[in-house]
Amino acid sequence: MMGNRVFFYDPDETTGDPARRAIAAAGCEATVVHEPSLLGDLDPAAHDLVVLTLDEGLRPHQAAIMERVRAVHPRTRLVLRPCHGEPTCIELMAREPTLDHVIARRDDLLDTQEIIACIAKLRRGEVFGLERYLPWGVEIHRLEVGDSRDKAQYVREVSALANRLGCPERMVELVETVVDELSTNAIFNAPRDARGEPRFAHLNRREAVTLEPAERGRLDFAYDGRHFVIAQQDPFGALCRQTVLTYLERCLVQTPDRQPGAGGAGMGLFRVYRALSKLVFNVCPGVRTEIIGFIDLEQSFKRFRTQPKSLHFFTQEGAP
Amino acid sequence: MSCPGSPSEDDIFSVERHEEDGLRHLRLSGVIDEFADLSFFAHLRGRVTVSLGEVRRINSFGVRLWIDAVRAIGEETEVTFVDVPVVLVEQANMIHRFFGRGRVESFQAPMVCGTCGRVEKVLFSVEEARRKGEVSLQSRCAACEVEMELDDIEEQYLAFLKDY
Repeated sequence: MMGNRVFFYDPDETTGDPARRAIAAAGCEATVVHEPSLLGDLDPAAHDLVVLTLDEGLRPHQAAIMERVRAVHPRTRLVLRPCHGEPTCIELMAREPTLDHVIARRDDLLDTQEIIACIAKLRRGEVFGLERYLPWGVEIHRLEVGDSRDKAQYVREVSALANRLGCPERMVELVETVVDELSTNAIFNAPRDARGEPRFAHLNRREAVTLEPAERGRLDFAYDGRHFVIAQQDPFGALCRQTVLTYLERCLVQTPDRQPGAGGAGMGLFRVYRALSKLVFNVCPGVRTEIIGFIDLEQSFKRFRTQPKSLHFFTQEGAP
Repeated sequence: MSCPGSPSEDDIFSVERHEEDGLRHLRLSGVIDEFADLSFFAHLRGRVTVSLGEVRRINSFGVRLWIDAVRAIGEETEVTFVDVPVVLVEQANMIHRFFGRGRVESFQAPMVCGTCGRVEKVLFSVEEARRKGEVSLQSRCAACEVEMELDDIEEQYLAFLKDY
């Protein structure tokens, strides 16, 4: 659970009213600042959530703000909003251990829906569920994931919706990639034994694995009018922020010169990341993990490739 | 008839073989995943053309199998990959020497028409793409006849050509 005081900085004054409205819509009180010089006086203890646009104005203050959050008030949540040309969300989160939320500033616009969803989840302390991102009326399709021999069926059922929506072929391929990798993760990587050790991660993926009823995952998918959204839940909660970032960063860093060898741990997760505009991890440690991915169907593939991505890591302390 | 959990026919990985003018041709199709048997690469001898245009998708385990398979191709074997689909071009742009010592002769590129929005996968020869000393892709929309452009970041999409 988080308090309701939100600090918002963006040098663009046109973001002020939409930001105030979004923050109010999530039930919080906003302090909105456009002048970078005011960031020097930012007291993290006076705010429960600090949303900062990453720009030249923030840069001289960024390290000091992060340090104050870390040292003085670690319960203050941070959200960074980088734009095109800034480090990726993976690099930003890997560098800053107190940063769990990076909201991409696509086309310099304020994504009020993403801000509302982020604040509301933090404030209520209830993070699980695809429905938190969907408008009323959207039908959520659901599959139980529990047998490696059915993976092709999972992929086929989700891509059938993508085809019914008239998604371009490359977008359908992205949907199939995400479902393939996430369902493999739910069957082989997520399950833990009573001691918390991986049960099937060591197996060759050609081996047939059938999960017990209580171990089975859930694949939800929907279309929200703009995004194809896919969510994979498992009842283990074994994924942690550091593992995710280590895997993603390793693949990301190797990408520009291209990876020297084949695959390696985390390649599936990196393929999921590359396929999405927004990636959300919800974890209740030892209880449940949910990975939610958003594929933006409204932009061309070229635009998709050039746009920054959002990355969130939500942790729920109480049982969901 | 397939059982509920089995892949659809388009997804099943398969290899068709034929010979023409003394040259061996292989045509790969379907999804390259953990079940794809790529062990044939290690047994190829002489000059072989491998057509990849019908490969629909590759997953992370398929990528590992592929890398191991193409690295097992014997030194005396000359493999030429043709009609490389978009999904494999993307992999080649992430993984150094994705096609091993093989030669890439042609590849598909997603081209989009700025006028009507039509997207087409167009086949380009590597030689044609490198014409005039610089890499460029040119095609015309079948509907509008205007010049189409690559629906991707050109510098990134064509990066694999440095290896081939």
